Amino acid sequence: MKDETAQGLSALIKGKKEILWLGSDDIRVTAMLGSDKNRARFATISQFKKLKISDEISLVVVVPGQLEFDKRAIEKLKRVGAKKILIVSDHAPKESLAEVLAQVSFAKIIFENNLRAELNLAIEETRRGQGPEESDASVPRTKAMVSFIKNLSAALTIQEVLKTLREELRNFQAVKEPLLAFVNAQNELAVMFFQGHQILERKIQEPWPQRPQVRLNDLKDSQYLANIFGRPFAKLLSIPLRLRYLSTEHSLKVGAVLFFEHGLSEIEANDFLQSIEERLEPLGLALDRLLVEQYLKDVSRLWERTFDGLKDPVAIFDADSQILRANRAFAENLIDVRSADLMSDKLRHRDHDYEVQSYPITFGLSARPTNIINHYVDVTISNRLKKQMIQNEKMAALGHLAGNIAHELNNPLTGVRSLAQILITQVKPGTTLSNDLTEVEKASERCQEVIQNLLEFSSGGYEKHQQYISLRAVVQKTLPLIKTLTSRFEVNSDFFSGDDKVFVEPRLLQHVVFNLIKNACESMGDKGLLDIRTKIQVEKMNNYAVLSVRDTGVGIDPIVQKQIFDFFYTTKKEGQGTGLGLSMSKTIVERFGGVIKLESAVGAGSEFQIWLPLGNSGELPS
Amino acid sequence: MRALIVDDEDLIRTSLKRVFEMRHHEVFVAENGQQGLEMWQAHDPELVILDMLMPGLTGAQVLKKIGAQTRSKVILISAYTGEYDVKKASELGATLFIAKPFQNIFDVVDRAEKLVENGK
Ligand SMILES: Nc1ncnc2c1ncn2[C@@H]1O[C@H](COP(=O)(O)OP(=O)(O)OP(=O)(O)O)[C@@H](O)[C@H]1O
Ligand SMILES: [Mg+2]
Repeated sequence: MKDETAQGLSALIKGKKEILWLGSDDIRVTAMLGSDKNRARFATISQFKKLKISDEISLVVVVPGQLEFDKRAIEKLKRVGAKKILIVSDHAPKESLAEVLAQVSFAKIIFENNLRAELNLAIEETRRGQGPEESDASVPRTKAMVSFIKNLSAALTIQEVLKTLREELRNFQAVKEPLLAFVNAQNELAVMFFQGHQILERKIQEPWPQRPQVRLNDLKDSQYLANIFGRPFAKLLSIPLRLRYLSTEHSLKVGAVLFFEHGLSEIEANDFLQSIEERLEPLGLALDRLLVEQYLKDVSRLWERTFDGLKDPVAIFDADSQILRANRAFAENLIDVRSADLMSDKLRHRDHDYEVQSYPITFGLSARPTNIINHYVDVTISNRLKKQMIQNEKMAALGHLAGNIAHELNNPLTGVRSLAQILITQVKPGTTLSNDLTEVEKASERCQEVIQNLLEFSSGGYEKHQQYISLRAVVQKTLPLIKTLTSRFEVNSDFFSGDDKVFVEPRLLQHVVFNLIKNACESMGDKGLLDIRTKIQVEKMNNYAVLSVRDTGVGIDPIVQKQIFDFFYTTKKEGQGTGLGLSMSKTIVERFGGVIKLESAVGAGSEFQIWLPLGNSGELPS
Repeated sequence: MRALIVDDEDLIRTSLKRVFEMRHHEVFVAENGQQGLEMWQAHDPELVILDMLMPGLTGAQVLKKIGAQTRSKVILISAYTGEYDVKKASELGATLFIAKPFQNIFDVVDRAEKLVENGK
């Protein structure tokens, strides 16, 4: 056996498991197949009795050597599905075999140097299903069909379906790889095509122009594809596939169209069409299945995203209060809550308050709900606001009360103090009487101060009015109230001592001062320097009283600086900051015609300044 | 000068009266708005010290009744500093507003004297 023969064979037998090489020993086969021998299917003549129909052999090449290959062997091969048997022999067959060979056309003696040509022919013949007798050929053909269907039903993607189809049709050498136009799960027209070994998908904008119909070499079809791919399509066979999936909704009218670019004559094309026709139904079924699967996947993914996109936790329970599904917010916030608590109508967990809204679901006629959907409405912020409002109301009531009390007390107190002042002038200084009267006068002064403080910073009726008040005085009155906050730090203060009256509501301004100092302290952890000063500044011809609160804390990132004045913006731990401090302060300062300025660098600390227009003193011009 | 003091608080009336008398002024006192109004009309004082909040007629009502007919200087006194501020006082026709409690009763009388002095 010459090497060229071996090489020529190599191309022919590559990957062809349906060819069985049968030899007396493997030496001659090895000689024949060269290095391909190991990849070919090989059996010794004594082994071949074990062959089964499931081995799917269609062509047998027998290299009998010295051994007998007889009629019984041929019968056996026929039974396991062989359509063609080539017996490689240099000498005439024995008489008994010759007899058999004369009667059947599918087994034939060939010469070794003819092997390539004969094999080629035989491969073509077996592939076309030109078996010996029709009845005999139908078995492997059915088998081939069954395996095609099996492959289709195992396909997980449309790509795999196309590959299976290409494999199935690879014997039609004049036919190129199939193209599939179809309506995808997003209800868009798409085409899938081979590019080398890959399969690509492309969306199509142009609506499908033609009625669904088998067409051969139709010009419009060619133009349609040429437009999509930007290259000419010469001969084209178009085969519509009727799918149940969305088949009438779309401009495609049918679910899908198969295109084959080909070089077939008209007669050959009809042959091809015939052989593909019986495969259309399983093909359609497979596509239907995959498209519906894809569609359902998309729909459920959309549903899942919606579900997970909800800010509030939502969970679906079965009748026994077991969770069937829950969204992401639930998983993140409520996963460790006891199931009994999940079914109550109010819930408090990790500093969040939830109001539970339950929606029972009943299926069919059953009166009992089969499922319950619980929506956990996060009411933390609205509760906080509610509390704040109640607090405000309480403060208002208290302020009102304080106002009344103060008036009742102030009148007699003024009298007591005044009288003491008068009496002091009428007794001899240094006497016990004079000293006692001085004590009375001082005590009543202290009483007045207490009342005054009470009035100023409770939200009583009269303070809802703006008044002229010294910025320094407001700051100085605030500092003692927050000693517990500032005591950890070194505090520097420097107050402008001249006229720094501004026209404000003292109580509100005090809140601003309080917030700034509180924030500064909170930014510094355990130690740091707190610098508080007031001064007068001129800007654009206007005079301002300025309060500056500077800390050596963590500082504020420039990006964050834009947000800190937003309502509810806080970087503090849940329950520690409301994120209202600065936003309220800004509102208040702006109400009084002022501005808040900020300078800060991460790591270096922050300085907040409030600028309030300087006002006049509170006397009537005389 | 002739001064009228209208206040429902006994101690305030007493102490103001003392200081004015110490400075040799003629003093009339009234313990409510109605009485104050009558005395104002009867004695035509140069100065009236009028408390805002009194039972019966309030200081504001008294002022309103007197209207433009008076030449008297009027000092309003009240504990409700916010409600009866400077602006409101001048709107009502008062010349000066002094908040209660007083820090020093002699200062109050000083200011009253100055007011009358300047007005002459
Ligand atoms: N002096 C400061 N240094 C560093 N960061 C600050 C400073 N002041 C404010 N911030 C930042 O601005 C955010 C908003 O402040 P704001 O006062 O509005 O709310 P809060 O302090 O978080 O809450 P609350 O005022 O209720 O305590 C803070 O969480 C913090 O991140
Ligand atoms: Mg704060």
